[in-house]
Amino acid sequence: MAHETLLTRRLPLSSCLGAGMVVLCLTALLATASGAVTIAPAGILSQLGDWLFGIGEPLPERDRFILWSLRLPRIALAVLVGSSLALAGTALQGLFRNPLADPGLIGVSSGAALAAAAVIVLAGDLLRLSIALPLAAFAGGLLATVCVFLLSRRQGILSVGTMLLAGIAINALAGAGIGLFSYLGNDLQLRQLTFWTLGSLGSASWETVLPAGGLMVIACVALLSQARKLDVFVLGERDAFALGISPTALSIRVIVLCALAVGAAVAVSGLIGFLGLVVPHIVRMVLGPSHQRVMTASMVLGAIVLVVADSLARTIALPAEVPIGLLLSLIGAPFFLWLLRRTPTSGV
Amino acid sequence: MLTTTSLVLRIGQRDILRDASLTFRPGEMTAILGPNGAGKSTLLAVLSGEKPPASGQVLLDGQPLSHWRPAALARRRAVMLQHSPLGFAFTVEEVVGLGQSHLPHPRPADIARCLEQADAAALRGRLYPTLSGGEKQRVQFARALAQLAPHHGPEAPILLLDEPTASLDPGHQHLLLNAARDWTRQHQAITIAVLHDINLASWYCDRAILLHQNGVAWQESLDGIPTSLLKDAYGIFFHRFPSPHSARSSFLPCPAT
Repeated sequence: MAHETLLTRRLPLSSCLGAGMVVLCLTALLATASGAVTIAPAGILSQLGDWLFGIGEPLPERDRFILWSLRLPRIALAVLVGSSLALAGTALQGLFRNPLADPGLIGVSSGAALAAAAVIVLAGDLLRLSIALPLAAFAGGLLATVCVFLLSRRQGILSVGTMLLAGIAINALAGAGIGLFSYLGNDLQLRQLTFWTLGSLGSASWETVLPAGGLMVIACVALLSQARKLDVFVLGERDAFALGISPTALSIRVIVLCALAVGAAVAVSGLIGFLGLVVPHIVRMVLGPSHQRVMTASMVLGAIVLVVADSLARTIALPAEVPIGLLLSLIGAPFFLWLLRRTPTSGV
Repeated sequence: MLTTTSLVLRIGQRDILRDASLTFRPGEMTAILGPNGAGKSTLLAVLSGEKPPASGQVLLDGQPLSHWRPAALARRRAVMLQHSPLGFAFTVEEVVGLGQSHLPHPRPADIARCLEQADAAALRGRLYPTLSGGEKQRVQFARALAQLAPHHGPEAPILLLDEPTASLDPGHQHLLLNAARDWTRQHQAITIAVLHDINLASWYCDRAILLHQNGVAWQESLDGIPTSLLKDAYGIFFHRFPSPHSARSSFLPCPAT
């Protein structure tokens, strides 16, 4: 298992979080400024000052529209999805007691996408309710997580090999299901489904961000409160019981909350893989494995990574847009392979 | 006081222990002995409240263990298991600190003292997954002691050890059991250890429970045990002789006779 740390002395959490927040604000500002139409960062700041406190020079009408209706919801979505996926990845790694768990790899995300696809093709009327898609994705993600957890666990012992294999099977099954729905769907539905399988933040608008974002915030806050219990849980289920934690209750809570966070994220952004794997891993190398530290720091780093990746996706091939899921898989898949190579066979 | 009444333990369809009524008193260290598959670890898991017995009851202060909330139980009794696999790179101090997760914050003074008691102070700052099996076992022992360190009050704390000396070198086997015995006396605690070594059980434990043929074959001090009973249980003869260093008996296995 990968247990080297980058630094022999662990850095203090507060200064890392502080630095992370500053970087996040700066990248968010730069990401807001860049795009097909460039808006000067100073102009953005004075417009924000005008909205919030009534001070500062408002931008021209067109820039104001771009800022409010296109860029800001998209940045908000990147922050929400990035931190939710990174946090869910951290929590799942604690639950599976292994740093190789990831919502994408073990099929949580594709379970969510399959349920979303089913709603789009079979129950299109439901889409008028903006909460319907996130809830359906939550249900799909929940089902997939429960399956993988039960399949990879025998007598309280989790096999990582079985976990990854079960993830492959569930990903294949969900992929076939999504394929079937694309076959059944009409042209419009097909375009929507493609968006899911590639992953994109392009659909961001306040109408989609707010309901899904609400679910993500609830799931994240509740997951953060489980941090110390997860530390005890990684000792093993029997040790956790001896230390006063009911392993079954904690597993159920973490599975439901991860499915909620991932489901809501998938519903508005499609399949964005590897974020939940790469981000907590980097954080652990710097801050150590304590869940309180890894969870909070992963949320900040996850948000930064997705904001940066999304502005690259938007601007790298103007006027076209590269799907962000593709971009992250290009970086994440080699990283995962490197991690597998580094991991002694005993871990899998 | 920890007692069991008419305890029956079952694995699958097979009864491995029938009608065991046991009493564990404060200030006393008890060994659980028996051949492989006699149900030693299962008995310990039932005494810890982790597994329910097939029938009968385990009573702590007169209350069935199943009525205790896990969190309340965790403040009162600690368990050291044979294997504690941990894939994440926690430091030794962090692992011991996890023993105090029932407190708002782990107490550094407790952690330092418990590492000292387990002769693991030299391991401070090391990453747990990089330790050897024996070093891990000492850290786990320190973690169990740390869990009970905040316990105060008249009720006896309970320490359950499942083969605590399995991966230890001879020197550390004695250090650990000696520390466990001192701790038991000092805190008037109830300590129960599953052991394979009859000599360690005889020297360090006040009495031994010998499990054999689905029952409790012996539950007094090993000084008085008929050696025929040991032969029945283990299939080889044990020669008993006075120890040069201790008032307690020593045993020499003699496979030929």
